[in-house]
Amino acid sequence: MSQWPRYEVFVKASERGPFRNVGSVHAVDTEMALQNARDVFGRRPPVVAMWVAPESSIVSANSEQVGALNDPGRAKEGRGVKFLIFTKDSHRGSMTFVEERGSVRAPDALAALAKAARTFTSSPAYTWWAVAESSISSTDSDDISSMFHPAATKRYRSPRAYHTHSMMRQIIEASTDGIEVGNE
Amino acid sequence: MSDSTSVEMRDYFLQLADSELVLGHRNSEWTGHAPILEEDIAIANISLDEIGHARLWYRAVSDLSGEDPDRLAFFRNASQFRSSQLVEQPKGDWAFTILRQFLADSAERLLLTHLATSNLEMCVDLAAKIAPEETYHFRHSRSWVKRLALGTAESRRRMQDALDTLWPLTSQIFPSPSAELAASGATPDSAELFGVWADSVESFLTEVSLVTPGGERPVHEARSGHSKSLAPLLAEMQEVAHLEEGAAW
Repeated sequence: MSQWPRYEVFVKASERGPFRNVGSVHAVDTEMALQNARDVFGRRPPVVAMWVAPESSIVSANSEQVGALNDPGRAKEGRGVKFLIFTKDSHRGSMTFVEERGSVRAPDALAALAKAARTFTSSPAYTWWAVAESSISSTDSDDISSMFHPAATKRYRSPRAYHTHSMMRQIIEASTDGIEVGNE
Repeated sequence: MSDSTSVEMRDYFLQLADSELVLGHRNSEWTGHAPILEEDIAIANISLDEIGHARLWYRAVSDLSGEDPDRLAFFRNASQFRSSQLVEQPKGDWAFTILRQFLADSAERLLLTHLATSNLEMCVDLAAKIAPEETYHFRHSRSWVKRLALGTAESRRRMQDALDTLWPLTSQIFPSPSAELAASGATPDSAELFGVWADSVESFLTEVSLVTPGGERPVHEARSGHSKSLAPLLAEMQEVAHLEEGAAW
């Protein structure tokens, strides 16, 4: 069975926050990928913007591989192409993977990763992604009102709207309170 | 608001509410069966949005008449419903559902644009709430109609078959206000609206090489009668509510 191309999806949850990778969708082109991304990942707020990039445009490496890249002979300087750099710095956050760190200019993706490893050193990263900026398609600010804002009024979609733990505690406490509970 | 206006607005809102509810229900029938996983989620989302819109229109009825929205949705029978036959049609294949969605979305967007300038505040408020979601629905359905119409020979054929069935049913796509209501500025005139809508839809369909069935273009007409598919739809939709009337949810 054939499969449509896969696009990685990045979500920006707030104006100041970074884009984070939240998963991927299959689509025939970027227009459909953005719509699918919104339907799959934009149902629960908050989202202010989304990016999609074809999986084939993403070059990834773990920290060892990036370390091996860090060879001055291979890391050519020069204006080059703008690459966005994403890293996974911790194991927190089960619903997200890599997060936007910044961008570098380099002649190709591997050179971009090497340069990124030298540039973004504030915390050790497990995984590095480089994506040419030209491969990324974005929603517009015009899209917020129709694509993302309606969900903001629907907090009932979020599991956090249901205070399950405290409700369960109350139920359990009530049942040990001398109130009869049948042996069914 | 005078009593007669109130009665007429109630019927107008019911035409909107019942159509949204029926359309939402039809689209929900795709859950778990859509051709692509992402579309399964999309159509379920759209369906939920439609049902949410139905709720808003039922509440508008309730504001006027005091009737309970749940009773309106679950305890009226097919002859009492004011939905259009367009939305009552079974879901058909994906092409049919998507084309119907496109026709319904484009009509609703145009209607909401006019309701946004109604002299009735409740219409203005509801149009403002509903329009952003309809913008998104429209984008989605229009892009699918285009893809399928300009796709393979099979997708083109299915789209054309869907259009052949749906086009005559568009005569009832817009709700019918009474002449007084339209004249009063509470609602737009549906005959005029239909003309504007049909022009823009026909030009889009031509762009994507679909042909409206031969003969006269439909004209707006008031809703009367229902598809024979409505009664079974309601029987299914209302079944749980009817099992125990007066149950608290």
